[in-house]
Amino acid sequence: MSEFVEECRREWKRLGVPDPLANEMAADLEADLEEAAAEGASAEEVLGSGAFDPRSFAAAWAAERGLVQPPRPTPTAAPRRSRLAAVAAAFALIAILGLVVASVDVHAGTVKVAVASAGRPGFGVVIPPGARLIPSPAVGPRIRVLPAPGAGVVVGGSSRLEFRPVGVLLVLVGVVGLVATLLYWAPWARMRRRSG
Amino acid sequence: MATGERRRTELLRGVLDLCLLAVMVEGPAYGYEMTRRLRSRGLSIVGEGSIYPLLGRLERDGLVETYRAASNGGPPRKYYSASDAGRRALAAGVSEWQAARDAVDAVLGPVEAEVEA
Repeated sequence: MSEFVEECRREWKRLGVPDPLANEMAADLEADLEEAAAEGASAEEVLGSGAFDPRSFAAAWAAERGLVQPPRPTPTAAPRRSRLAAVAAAFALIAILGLVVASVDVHAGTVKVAVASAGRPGFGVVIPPGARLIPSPAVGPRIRVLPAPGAGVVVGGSSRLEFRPVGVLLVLVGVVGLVATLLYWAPWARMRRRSG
Repeated sequence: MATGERRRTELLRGVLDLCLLAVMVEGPAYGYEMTRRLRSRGLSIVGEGSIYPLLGRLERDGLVETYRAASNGGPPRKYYSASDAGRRALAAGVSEWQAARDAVDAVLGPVEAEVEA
């Protein structure tokens, strides 16, 4: 068997072409090349420029017959750019969402505490809307209220859910992801990847 | 590759499948026999292109039928013949080729006449 056909067989084996089909193709090719040589025709007249590149020739033949998957085309630059833009937008959205969540926590979730005292017995304490007055014995050990008559703690707007850590985490993830995406997308980074 | 040869290769690439179907209609043929039939009409396979991948595609697309048989004193060969679908594809392709050739002739024909004058 000629060196050309041997090269083709090696390529078909590498590509996973079933042996019976590879044997059939190799036998046909060998017989054609021998017949051409007997007539004084060159291998190029039979194979075209494939005569100089057995591996490409073998791969093309197997792919066209549907025996192997054709080589995947390289993704074009435009779809890659749009994917990166989508990733950057997603990270930006996460950061914005984090800011919103943290902001909600600040405005609705923080317990506002104030010590209020009527100053003198017989005077009332002004309670803001949405707040309530807790008498001093119920405040607990962490807040000390001076034992003044009519004193208490005004508590308002408490929330049971702690949104702030979640918001901060989302902002961090969004910002870090956005920066990483932009760095990857930057022209100098792309040039470095190409040269590497 | 010279410019003229490259252009000829590119022109041939678009119609080589039709040429193969056309020589198969004359009678079943194995690979090299088709090359020989094409060459006898002045069409040699040089440059980028080979009939083998094309034959593979025609087979995959159901445009040819194949069988193995002994050649004249040689080893068994794979013979190709145009299937019904192949004959229909050939007829459609020839119409397309003639329309394209006429349109190109309409553009390039006068240029050639001026050069000759």
